[in-house]
Amino acid sequence: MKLLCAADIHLGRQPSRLPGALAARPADLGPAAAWRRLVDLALEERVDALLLAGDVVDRDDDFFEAYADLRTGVEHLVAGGIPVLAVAGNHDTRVLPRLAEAVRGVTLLGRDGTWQAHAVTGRDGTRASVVGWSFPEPVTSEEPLAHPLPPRGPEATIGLLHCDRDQTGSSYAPVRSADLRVAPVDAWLLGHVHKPDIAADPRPAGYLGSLAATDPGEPGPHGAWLLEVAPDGRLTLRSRPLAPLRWEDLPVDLTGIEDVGEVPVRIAREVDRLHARLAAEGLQAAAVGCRLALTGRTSLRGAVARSLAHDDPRALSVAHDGTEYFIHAWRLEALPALDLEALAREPSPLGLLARKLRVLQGHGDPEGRAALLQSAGRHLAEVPERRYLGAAGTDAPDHERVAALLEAAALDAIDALLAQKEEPA
Amino acid sequence: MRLRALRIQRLPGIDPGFEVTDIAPGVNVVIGPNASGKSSLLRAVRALLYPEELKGLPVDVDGTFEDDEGELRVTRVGGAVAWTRNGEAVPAPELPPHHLLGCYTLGVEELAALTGTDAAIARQLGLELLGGYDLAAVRDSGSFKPPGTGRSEAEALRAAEERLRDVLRDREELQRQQARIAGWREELVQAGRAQEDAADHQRALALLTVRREIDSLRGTVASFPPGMERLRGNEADRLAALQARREEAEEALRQARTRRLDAQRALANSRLEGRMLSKTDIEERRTALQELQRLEGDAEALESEASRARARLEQAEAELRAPEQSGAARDGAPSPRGVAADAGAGAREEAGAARPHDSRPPRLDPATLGHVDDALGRRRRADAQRRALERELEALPDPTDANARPQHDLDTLREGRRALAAALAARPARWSVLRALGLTLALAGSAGATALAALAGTAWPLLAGGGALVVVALLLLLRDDGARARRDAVARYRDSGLEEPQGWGEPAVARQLARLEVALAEGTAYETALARRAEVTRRLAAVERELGAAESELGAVADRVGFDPRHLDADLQRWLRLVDAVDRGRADLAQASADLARKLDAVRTRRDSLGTFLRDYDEAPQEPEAGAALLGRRLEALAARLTERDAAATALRSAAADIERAESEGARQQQEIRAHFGAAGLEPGEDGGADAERALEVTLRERLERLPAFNDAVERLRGATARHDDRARELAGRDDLLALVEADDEAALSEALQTLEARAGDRDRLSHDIASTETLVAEAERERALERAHAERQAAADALQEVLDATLRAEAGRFLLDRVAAEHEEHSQPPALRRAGAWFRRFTRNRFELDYDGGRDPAFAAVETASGERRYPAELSTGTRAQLLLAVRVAFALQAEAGRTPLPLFLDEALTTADAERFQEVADSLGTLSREGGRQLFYLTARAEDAALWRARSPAAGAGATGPAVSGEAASDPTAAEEAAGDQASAGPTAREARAALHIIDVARIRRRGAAVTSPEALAADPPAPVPAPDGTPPELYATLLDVPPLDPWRAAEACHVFHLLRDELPLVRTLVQAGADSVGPLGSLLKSPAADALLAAHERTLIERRVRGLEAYLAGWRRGRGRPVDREALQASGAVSDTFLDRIDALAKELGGDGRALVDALNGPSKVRNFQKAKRRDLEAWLTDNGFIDPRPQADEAELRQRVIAALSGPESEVEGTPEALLGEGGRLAAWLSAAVRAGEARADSGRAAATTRSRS
Repeated sequence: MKLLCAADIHLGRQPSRLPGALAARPADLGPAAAWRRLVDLALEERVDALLLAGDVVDRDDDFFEAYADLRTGVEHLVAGGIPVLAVAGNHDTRVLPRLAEAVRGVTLLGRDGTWQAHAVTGRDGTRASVVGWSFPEPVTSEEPLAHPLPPRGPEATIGLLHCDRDQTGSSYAPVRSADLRVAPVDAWLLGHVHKPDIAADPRPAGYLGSLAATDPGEPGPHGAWLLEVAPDGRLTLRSRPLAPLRWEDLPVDLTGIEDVGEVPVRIAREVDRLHARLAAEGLQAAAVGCRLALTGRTSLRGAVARSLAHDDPRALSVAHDGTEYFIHAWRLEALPALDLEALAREPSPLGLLARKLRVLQGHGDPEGRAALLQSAGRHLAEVPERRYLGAAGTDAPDHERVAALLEAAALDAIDALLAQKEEPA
Repeated sequence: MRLRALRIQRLPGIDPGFEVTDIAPGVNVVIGPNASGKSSLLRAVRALLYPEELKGLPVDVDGTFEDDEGELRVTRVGGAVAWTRNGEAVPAPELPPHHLLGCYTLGVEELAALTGTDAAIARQLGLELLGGYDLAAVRDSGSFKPPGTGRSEAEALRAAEERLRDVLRDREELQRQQARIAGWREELVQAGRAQEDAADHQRALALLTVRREIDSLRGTVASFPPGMERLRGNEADRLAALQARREEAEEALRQARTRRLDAQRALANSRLEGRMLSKTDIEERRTALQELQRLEGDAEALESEASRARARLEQAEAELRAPEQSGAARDGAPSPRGVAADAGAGAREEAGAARPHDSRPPRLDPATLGHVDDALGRRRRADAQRRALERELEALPDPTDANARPQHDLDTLREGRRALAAALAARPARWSVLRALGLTLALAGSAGATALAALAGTAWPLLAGGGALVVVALLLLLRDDGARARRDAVARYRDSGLEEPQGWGEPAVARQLARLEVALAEGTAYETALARRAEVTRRLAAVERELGAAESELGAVADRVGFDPRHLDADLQRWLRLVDAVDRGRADLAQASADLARKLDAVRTRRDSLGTFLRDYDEAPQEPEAGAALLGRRLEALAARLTERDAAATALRSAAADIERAESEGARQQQEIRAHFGAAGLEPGEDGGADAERALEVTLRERLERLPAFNDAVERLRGATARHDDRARELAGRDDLLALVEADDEAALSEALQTLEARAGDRDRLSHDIASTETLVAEAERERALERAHAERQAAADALQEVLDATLRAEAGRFLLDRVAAEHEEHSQPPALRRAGAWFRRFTRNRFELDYDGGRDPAFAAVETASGERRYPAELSTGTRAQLLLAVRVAFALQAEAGRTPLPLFLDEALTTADAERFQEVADSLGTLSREGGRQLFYLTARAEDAALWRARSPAAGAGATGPAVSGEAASDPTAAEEAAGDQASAGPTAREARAALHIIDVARIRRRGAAVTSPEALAADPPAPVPAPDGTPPELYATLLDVPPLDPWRAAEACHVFHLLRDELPLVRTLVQAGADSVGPLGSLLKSPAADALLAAHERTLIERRVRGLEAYLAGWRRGRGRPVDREALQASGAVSDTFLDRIDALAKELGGDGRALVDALNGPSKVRNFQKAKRRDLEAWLTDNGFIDPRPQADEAELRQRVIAALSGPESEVEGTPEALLGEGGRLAAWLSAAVRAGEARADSGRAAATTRSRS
């Protein structure tokens, strides 16, 4: 028996941070495209059922766009003899019930916050049971595993759940890993967290991850999972990347460069390497967004910063085997080629900056670091509250963020002061 | 190093010199009016210490200094400076650099403006402070520069969110509509049913109406006479037509009878009635008549032919006879015409048939004619040849004519020609020369050979000479043959007897030869013509013979036929034809006469037959020989009679038939009329007379007039009936409705119909709603507006987040740079700057702090502690600027002399512009410097009250000072001494000490130019105003005593009076006010100074710092949601308010207390400023919003303000201050105090505005 499993499709959402040409074709790179791929894969693999672990749509009131996509795909599946079993997540407490009522062949498990079992019989005669629990409301602090699961039978039992794991007090169906482990199921297919962490051994359990990554916060491969149930009940789980858009980190070491002109060359080289690696993994994406991190140590740090400020690497776009690689953000993390420890002993402003950088990096004076972060935190706390910036709804930066900001600022300031020394007065 | 005495012998501008001795080591106040020499004292000291001063000028000055080692004397004469100690020369002490001399000699002019000294100080300080780095430049560049306010991004986000909300609202509405579709469909079904039911009711009502109409129409129909239904409307026309046809039949009958009578008459008139004569008979006679006509024609033609034959015969005979008659007239030569005419006449005579012909024409056979013709032809040809030969013979030369004969015969001419040609051919010239030359050579050769043979004795040369002689002989033999031939030729020519040429030269011979050629040609032609003449003569003889033969032959013919054909000449052909014509004319005439006789017989036979026939019917002509024409006319008359007879018979039969037909038709029409009446429902009577018929016709017409109305009624009835049946069928099954119709219950039907139509009327709306909703759903699914709006909102949020992140990076960087700059300044700040800062704070009683701007042009500035505003020296009042520069210069003077010999300070009216309070602060500070640092101080002034101010310096400043002593004569003034003693007694130990240190030098007295200090009172000073002690005074009253201003929440926290923070600590308020820290700004400055440690206890400092945090939190919270007050400056800066409207809008803003929101509302409302355009109002609102004059955020209420204050009082996380309950209480109280202070200010402002309004109205 073959079961195709997916979660967090978020139909109705468009990918963000796309550059010009790609931004014009969100339908080819977003969840809708991934959903079509999923339907095609299910029909191609002739799976015995499609299991959806919630958040199929992005808005639970999107009854016209996401719902239309969802319904169209589901109708194709049902027409192809593939039933759909789903649990509602916090995003689709209204859409999925309506879909289940509208399309015969769609089963919404665990309505009203109760566990429900559904038997599935494969084309090969293998039987399995899928137990599921659905969000009754978009926000619920109810713990699904506080309710008893249906008694299991001899056949393989698969748990389908949208939940917030190990987040006590969460408003999104909190569950504990310990409870998951002891639950009477042979596999847990979870939804809610977009980063996949499902492990195949000793039994398949974990988050399936989002079907399509819509923003840089979801790096790595995304897609569906093919769960095969052997007649003896053994379960085999395989990843099937389907996301048309993929996000990756792109570290580029600047150590040893002798000219800023080498930077684009190294970036291009790393893109090539990244593509080689992804291609070896069976890359399915049509586009790959890269978060560029310029690392290492270089005496040209300031020049690199100025160069990148002038020639934004986000303009870079490279195509490999039909896959478009682009850079959506970049950070200059490279350190100056200086003996910061020695520099920190100087009484000059440069020395003071070096001293603070080292303190921020954890080299001694923890009290001074804490005081600096506290003071800077108070200073920066007002920024998100400013008249216009407050509209972003961002919280004041925490200490970690403040430390990162200060560290980056210290590096930039050191570069700037060094440049002043280099430039004639 | 202190100055103890100074003697000025010579100094530019000083004459005479003077001397000042007994100079105090501490503070010396040098008093003297302007131009009394005060400043010269200073110039003299500078000249002593620095030779570069007054360089090149006549200077003779000496002075006495003292230091730790004793006295030092210095003398300067001209440019030479000499230092001695104890009478021994010593090197000059190491003094501060000359460029910092300005730090020691501070004049009022210098302190009033920036000088090079200040700039030099600032530059030096900058280098020390910045270590070569430009942190400010870094702060304003790159990632440290804030990207902007994020306004556009925030507005884009707000717009995107608004669009998203719009889409969501649309979707919710669409979803609601979609959910209603099922209900609409059900309603649609119900409405459809109602519509059908309504249709049935409408049909029922229609049926009811039809029923009523039928009843009505039936009554109408019944009102017409019976039988109306049988009328068709055309009965009258039909009747008229029938009657007309009846009359036509009667007329036809009458006419037929007339025709019958006429036919009978015509039959009688034909006289053939009863005779067996038919048209065939007539036709047969016509044929016979035609034959007769043909025969008569033939006979006439034959007669004509015979006449013509006779005429031709006569003509031929006449023509044949004509030549004999005309031949005698012409010279015996008959002409062909004459012959023909004679023959014609003969022929006519022959053709006359009736008359015999006496001279018959000859009979010619063809052979004879052939002979005649041939002979005539030969005779004509021979005659023609004879005439031609005769003409040629005449043209040929006659041999007998001697004149025509040539002079010489041809042979002579030919011989002469040959002789001349031979003469021309003989040419001797060339041959003669050659022959002479050859002869000469041959002779010469012969002679030479002979001589050579003689000389050589050999025979060979002789042989050669012999050969030459042979040649000579040959040449002689050859001689000239041409000449000889020529001579022969001449001889021959002369022998011919011909005329010799004019010479025997070649040309003459040639010309003669040509003449001979011509003569020869002429001779030849003459010979030829003679030959031709002989030939022609011969041929002429032959032709003559031929002609004679032909004549003979023709003569023979003439003899034989009796007619001389020679007379015919060339027209024999015609004569022959005439003869032939006479013959044929005779034959033709005979033939024609025979034929004519036969035809005439036949004609007579036919005439007789026709006449017999015509006589039988009375048509025969009276003449017995009537021709065919007359017979024909008679026959045609008979035929006409026959035709008339037949026509009459036919007409008679036709008339009989017409009579029968007309009678039948008349009877039939009468029957039709009767039937027509019957069909119209009118039954005629049995009699059927004309009167009855007229009565019936009248009745019929009356009914026909009413027929249209009847038919209309009947038709309407029929239609109504049909409609009734249709309606009834449509309502089959609706017995309920049929029953209502049957019951004629229109009211019930109408009421039900109205109800049903109302329900059915929703159908279209429901269909439209369903269709439009489904269309909207399809569009929504297709257009993906929600997804797009969501994405746009996310993109806008991302953009704003980017700005926020960039701002955080910038602010983090700036924070770090500021922190580094502060720390570096703190650690690296030169002591002089710190000292200058401390002094400046002290000079200004903490109202200002010294600030150093190490930018591109380093400079000092003052920061007002109450507002935090930075002010550069040019922006400061004169007094504050002097205090700033005094503090800086003195501090740097001390810094500059590190390791060097300290110098006295000279202040030349430096505090002239300072108020008493500040003067005291400066004097106090300088006094402290003098006392603690052993610094000698000179204060030069023209005002005696300055000396009093120095005396009245604060106790702290006067510590260690000694009483004033006045140099000059006044110093020994007992009155002054007493005053001084009295003051000393009243001032206490500190004051006395201070006065003891104060020494007054009256330059005017020294130079005996009067006295600056004229009385001890002049040295008296007003004591400073005391600060009242609270001593249980209620806070509000104490605030009044201190003249505490209300709290202006829009001003900086530093402007807040300390009373508002420390209402529960009034003694502390008094302390702070006494120290000059009456507001938070100076208070903060005080707290930074060491004086605070002595002035405030630690818990007081902590309390103050806590309350200040609470104040800042309160103000920040209060300002949220409240726009800054709009003032005139803001209105101008907005760019939206022109000068035209500025006054009015500014007044409106003042009236509204500067409330930007209220101002905009007022401008948009009824009290708006007239003519201030809408676009400008929008611009103003946007600007006020962007610049914080309108804050759309919600305002914090008192509870929130209290929470903010409490949170602020709790301090940093690392601090632990009091219990929570205590903090709550303290925070609550502080918030309440501040709110009360704000309200007091607002009330004051309101009353002020009210008063202003009242004033403006009054």
